[in-house]
Amino acid sequence: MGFVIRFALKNIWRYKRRTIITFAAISIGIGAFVFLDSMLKGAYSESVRNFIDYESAHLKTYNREFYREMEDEGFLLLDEGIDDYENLEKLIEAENVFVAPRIAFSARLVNEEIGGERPFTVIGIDPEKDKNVYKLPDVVLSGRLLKAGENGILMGRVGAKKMEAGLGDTLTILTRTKYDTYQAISVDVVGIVDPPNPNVNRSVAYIPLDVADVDLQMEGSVTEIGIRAGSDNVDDLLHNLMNKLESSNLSQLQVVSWKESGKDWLTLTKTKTAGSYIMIFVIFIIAAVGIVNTMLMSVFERVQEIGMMRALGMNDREVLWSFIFEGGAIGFFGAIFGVFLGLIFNSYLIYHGFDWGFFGDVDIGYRIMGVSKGVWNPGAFTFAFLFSIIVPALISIYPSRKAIKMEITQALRTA
Amino acid sequence: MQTLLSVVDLIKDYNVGETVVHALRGVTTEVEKGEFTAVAGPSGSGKSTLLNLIGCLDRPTSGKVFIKDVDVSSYNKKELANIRRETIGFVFQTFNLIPILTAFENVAFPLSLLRESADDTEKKVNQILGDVGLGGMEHRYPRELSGGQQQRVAIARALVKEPGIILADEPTANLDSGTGAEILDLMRELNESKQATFIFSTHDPMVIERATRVINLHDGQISSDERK
Repeated sequence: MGFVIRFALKNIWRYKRRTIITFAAISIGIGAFVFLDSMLKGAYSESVRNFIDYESAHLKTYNREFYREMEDEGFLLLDEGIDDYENLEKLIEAENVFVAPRIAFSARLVNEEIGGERPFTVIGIDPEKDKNVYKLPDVVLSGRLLKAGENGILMGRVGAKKMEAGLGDTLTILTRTKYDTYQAISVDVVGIVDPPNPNVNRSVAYIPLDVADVDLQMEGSVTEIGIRAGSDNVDDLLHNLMNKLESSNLSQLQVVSWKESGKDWLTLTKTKTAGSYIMIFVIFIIAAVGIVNTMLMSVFERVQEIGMMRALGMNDREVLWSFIFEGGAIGFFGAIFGVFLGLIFNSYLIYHGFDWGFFGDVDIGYRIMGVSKGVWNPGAFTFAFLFSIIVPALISIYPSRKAIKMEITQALRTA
Repeated sequence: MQTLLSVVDLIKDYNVGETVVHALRGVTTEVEKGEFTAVAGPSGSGKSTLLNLIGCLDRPTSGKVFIKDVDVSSYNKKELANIRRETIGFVFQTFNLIPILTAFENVAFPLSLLRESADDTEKKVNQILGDVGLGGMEHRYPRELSGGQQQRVAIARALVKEPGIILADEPTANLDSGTGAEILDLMRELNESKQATFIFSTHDPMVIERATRVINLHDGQISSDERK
């Protein structure tokens, strides 16, 4: 068998150009697979992080009716809020978590100076509590965060740009109160934030909770309470809180995890990811076709030689293994170089990241803006490596079986 | 003399479309150890078919092939491969060297199949390459050798494992007459010095002239068998 292996290794270099092309196909296939896998996994985990940090928190508590309307119809019904939320906060905080009450409402923001008007979701936030749950303080681009009681507004960079609003500009929030009366709130832009969550960056603005409470006639109610868990076990916390609400006769409230809040975009992301993997699979198929071609040519161009080797006493099994080793060895060396390429591509992703700004202001389904970093996924390397060795080895069986089925005398006559 | 191989009432038919071609029609003969035999005859007379059956490359339609008194005509593929590996050496008309192997490696190929040790292989290969006049050319590839030199490598490859029988299918057909004569002289010399049994298929008068025995085939039957 040692001779068969040595012979197979020598044969790899018989047709140098063809072998190099096959190596390249395998290497680029593996490199692209590792790169895309890292990018997609990185984008997914970054999206989840951005969703939790700027949008959903780990958990949120809603009035059931409010949540149902929001999910089914997209309406934010202020009259279906959470009353007496401060007591509820205490109940939740007993689980050693951070809480942040919010009033979320639909509005139109008007910049009278330029005559521009756009729909926004405006959120009333408690400046002190909010920073324990959400990460707006980390992304202040200019100006400052909100202070309680001021008629100020904090906007995302993209939203502000669309409104052509800068620091100190006065905007008007047009909305309806809890009692469905029209309300216009005049606010000054005190800060611009640049959250990496595109939804928030484009179409969410923040005002102080107490200002929202008064101007929307909320009378001490809020629309949601965001919760940041201390530990990673959000599912257990969700379960505990649901039981707690039930036992405290607060069954009109419900707790929703980030997975539930984000189920639509998570499904979309998974679909997109599956689509991307299909694309990767196509890359592998192209590489496999290259390997098939190399191995078919390799066998069919050597029919006479195979006949001679069989005439000299090489048995069918040895011929078969010689080509399996040859195919496997092409795959092995291609895989080594491919893994090396994958390491280089992936290192770039991990240390520099991929700039999703490349796609401009287009919604690509991920909760990402700017750069997302890649991840090391040993599983992807292992899969690509083994695939690249096993497939060429298996592919080699077909043509070599065909060659050994041929009569030796016929093979020897083949030019 | 010791009988090395014998064929008894050997018949080989080929189906070509709906036509049956009778390549051999009851050939019976035996070859003794150390003979230098030419199987002669015009094209289509059955020379190559006879060599293929003796060389265990093909199986007869009927009749028997005995090698060292063992009937190999009913052997399966693997058993035939083993017989070829151990007992028979081949010299082909087109040399059939492996282009990616050096002269040394080509000659070592049959020994690798026999799993000879590296030391023994080196010793035997260098010895036989010297015997065929290729000492110092061990590391040359076939493309770096002339036709005559390539055929010498092929002869060395056939002889290196010291097989009982060496079959040569028109070994001089692709060589000029001068080189062909040299190759024949070499084979004759090796036949005498190593007591190797050679059987050629040929219609080259020069080969027939040098053979110690000439079996003439005509229409798949032996028309004459002459020992000189």
